[in-house]
Amino acid sequence: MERRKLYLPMLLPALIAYLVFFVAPSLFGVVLSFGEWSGLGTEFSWIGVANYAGLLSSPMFLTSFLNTVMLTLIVGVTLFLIAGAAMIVLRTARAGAFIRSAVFLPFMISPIAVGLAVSFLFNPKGLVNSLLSLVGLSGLRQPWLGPDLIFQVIMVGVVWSAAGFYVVLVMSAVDGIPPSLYEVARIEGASLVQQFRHITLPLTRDMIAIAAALWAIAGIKTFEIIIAFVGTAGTPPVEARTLAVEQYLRATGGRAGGLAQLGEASAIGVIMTASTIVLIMLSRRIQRTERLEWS
Amino acid sequence: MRIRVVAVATTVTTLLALTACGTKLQGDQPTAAPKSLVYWGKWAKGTPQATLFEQVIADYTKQTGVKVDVQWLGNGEEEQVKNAIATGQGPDLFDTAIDHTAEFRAAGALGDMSAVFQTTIPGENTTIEKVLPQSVLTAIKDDKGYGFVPHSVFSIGLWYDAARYPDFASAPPKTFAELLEIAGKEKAAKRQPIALDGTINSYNAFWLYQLLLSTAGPGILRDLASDPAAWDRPEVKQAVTALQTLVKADLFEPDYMATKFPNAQNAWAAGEHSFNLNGTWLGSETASLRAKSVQARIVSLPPVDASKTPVVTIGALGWGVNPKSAQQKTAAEFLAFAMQKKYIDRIATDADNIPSRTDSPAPESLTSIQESIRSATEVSLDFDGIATLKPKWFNDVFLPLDDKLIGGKIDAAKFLSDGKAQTAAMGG
Amino acid sequence: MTGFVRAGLALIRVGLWVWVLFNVAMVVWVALNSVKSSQEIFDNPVGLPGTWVWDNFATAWTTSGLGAATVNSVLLVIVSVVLIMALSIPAAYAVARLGGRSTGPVTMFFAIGMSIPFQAFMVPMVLISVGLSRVMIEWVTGFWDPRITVALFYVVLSLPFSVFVLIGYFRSLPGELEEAAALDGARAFRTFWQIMVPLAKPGITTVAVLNGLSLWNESVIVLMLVPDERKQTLNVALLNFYSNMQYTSNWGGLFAGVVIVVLPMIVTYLWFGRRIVSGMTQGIGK
Repeated sequence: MERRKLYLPMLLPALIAYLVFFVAPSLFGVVLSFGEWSGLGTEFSWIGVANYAGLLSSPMFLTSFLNTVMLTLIVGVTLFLIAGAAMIVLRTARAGAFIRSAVFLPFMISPIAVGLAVSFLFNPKGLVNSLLSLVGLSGLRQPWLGPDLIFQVIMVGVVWSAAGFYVVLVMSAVDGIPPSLYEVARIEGASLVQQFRHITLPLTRDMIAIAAALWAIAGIKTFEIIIAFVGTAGTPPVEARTLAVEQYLRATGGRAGGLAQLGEASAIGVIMTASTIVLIMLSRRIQRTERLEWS
Repeated sequence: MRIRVVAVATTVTTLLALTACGTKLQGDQPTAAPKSLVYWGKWAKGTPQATLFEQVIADYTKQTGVKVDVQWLGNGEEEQVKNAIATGQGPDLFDTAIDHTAEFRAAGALGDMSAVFQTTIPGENTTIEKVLPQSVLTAIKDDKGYGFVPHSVFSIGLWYDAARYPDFASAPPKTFAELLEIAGKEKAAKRQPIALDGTINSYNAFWLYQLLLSTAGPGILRDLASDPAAWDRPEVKQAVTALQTLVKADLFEPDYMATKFPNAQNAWAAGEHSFNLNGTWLGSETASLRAKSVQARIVSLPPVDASKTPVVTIGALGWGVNPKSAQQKTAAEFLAFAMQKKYIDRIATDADNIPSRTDSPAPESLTSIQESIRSATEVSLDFDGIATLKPKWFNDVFLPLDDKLIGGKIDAAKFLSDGKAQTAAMGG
Repeated sequence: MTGFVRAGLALIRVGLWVWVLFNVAMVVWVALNSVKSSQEIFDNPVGLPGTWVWDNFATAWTTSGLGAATVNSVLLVIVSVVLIMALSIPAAYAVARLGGRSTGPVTMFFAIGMSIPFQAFMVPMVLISVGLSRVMIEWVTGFWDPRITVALFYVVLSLPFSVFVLIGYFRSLPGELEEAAALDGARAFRTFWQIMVPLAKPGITTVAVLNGLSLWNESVIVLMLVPDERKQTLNVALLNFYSNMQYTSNWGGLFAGVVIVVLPMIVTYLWFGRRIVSGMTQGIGK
């Protein structure tokens, strides 16, 4: 059949590029994670799972791992709540399209610019503390960028920059729901919240699952915003390190010109992949097993 | 200034090792080509240094006809140099600094510089080696000899406002305790005396390291990094306790652990605080923001124990020569040309840094520390060079613990016991 | 109960508007900072500048090479997105409509790629980059530019997501048109090109826009593979500028840099904003 003949020519270019430059390097990354290597001129030696064992016993790594998981989960839940709240009211809101465009805006801006601007707001003498004093809440002034709070502040920055995307994403699913369903519900006297529970939520579960998976992918590799937050002058404090930051520090031997730990860096990459896969599998549980049909 | 940016894994680029071994590059040095040098610089175009060096190059070309092709590569410069030289390409000359000597050596990017140091400076009847102070020569040397030709030197010291403390120039506080007393008086007058950008962990560590230098001497961080027992030494405890006293006295600016760099140093320049323990570069960095009433000056941090020999921390920036360059002699001649007094003087006048030459005067604010450098008998590299030797220990043990100590999260005893335990756990 | 719910709904509405206002305020704040002197940014974080320092823009533009970086960014993103689409549209169509029993496994195979962060092969990526440039310089073209390598990795890294989403999109299209076209005697490729691709336009637009966005904002790969500042992209230039500004304390200039980097995005957005958002709606919502 003629159509079948097109199958390979159309698929192969993408598949080959993917295999050669994506799948193969990934596998090579796994191989490297079982070795010790500092790059140029240094010897490569097999050390088995020593990189992994070393990482698991390193408090720095464990902190960064925990931070990453925390960031992904806490920000994820926050994004979910924001998107949920938006789903309830945005469908019927006036100027809904405008709101969508406005909240989507930060997502378009580079994380470096976001991190830079937001960290400036939270400077001890910055806008946030100034405003708190201005409205008579100087008691709430905090050293936001200090070791205790910086990670929370970074999470706020991440939420701000990402939330719009997920709102728009789930709203796209809401728009796909036939308006007739809501009309029927209204005639039967269902409130907005009831409509949300019995129509919107069930019919957008697939999209929410997709959104959750996309967030898991993005959350695990959070990097640029942290670098922009702490500036490029120092090493990011332990409290604010994610896996990607920790990997970067090991891959470069820290900021002060040490030897690179490429085996360890690769092992962190493998661990990041594994974490992402686990989170994606979890997110798939949101998805309904039986598909709802409408139309 | 010395701190590298997100040259992310340009370090990783270092990997080309594997691919580099077998093959030979087609574009190797054209040996018969007319004389010209390739120079890779780190300065951003338009900075005083870049402008000065471009001037030097222009003068040199005019006098000798040798072209120098300069490329300002910015922050990734070191990685590029290492990788390029390792693959047989690379510039004839490049910017480097003391803290890069170890990695450049390891990558084969630095060779024997003795011939260069013996080159006569045009019109001066002396050699590069002879115009540099002994302490600087000691600092730029490792077991393979001199690493590079320095044009600027740095140190760490206590910046203060001479308008407020005019006697410091002639009679600085003799001991750390005396300094605390002076600062305490300011505090009593409702003014936070010390500025600190606590989000920059290496700036925090200046305090502990300078205190350690004054009690235990140079090399102490190397000991602490490799020997858990070193944490029990009384000199170490003395320095750590001195820092604890400072922290407990609440003399740093409010929220110092959370400032958005360089907020604290700007506030210091604006006259909101009197002191800032920092590098000699602080003056030029904050010049544009300095209040008219403030007279920025630097002295060595007063020692905890005045009876010990004072130690000066020395850093240096300069030019390295590619050992694989086919133009060793021309490179040396160019460097000798650049080391003329008239050019090196301008490191002070144009760039507001300390010139490397003994006879080039430092900017007024830095004269005291230049004097310390000239007369120093004991020198140390910044943090004993431990950041390059044991980066993992420095980044994962020392700096985080120091942040906690200076942030007031842990006390001296906990700092010492945790440091000992973590060093032991890292296997010394 | 209903009163409570109503209050909650009102709160959400207010919250949404606050969020909108905050975003607008941030843009205004950054814009104002870009024309303040460095001193004023710290002394007077809110409010209009005392003196309008338009020089900040000149400083930012001249000292940081933002001009060249803009050209690099635009070229890289356009070339990469075109290649991504050229590879992923046919592949997705093939998998979705021609794949038969292999559809499921092949879809899965691409989907797995989505879960691999590029950090997992950061080290091999650099190796490939170095090796590639050596091979090209020595045996093939005689020259090489690291930006080409960056484009290569931009393309392959975007493939899993693009192919995956487009497969879903092509599958959701009604098959009748295709069959009708086949009955009319249209060749298979013409069916694809003249019927299915136009039908899939919303999905294709979305994928292209999302890829363009994330590549425009990408910086790590460029940092890793392109050491030469003259060949780096806007975000990296901003980062370099950031680190230099810290040492010269020209914060006004830095904010001017931020405006220069962000402004094109905002203008594009004001222009196409609705279409981007609605394109996403139609594209992914299917």
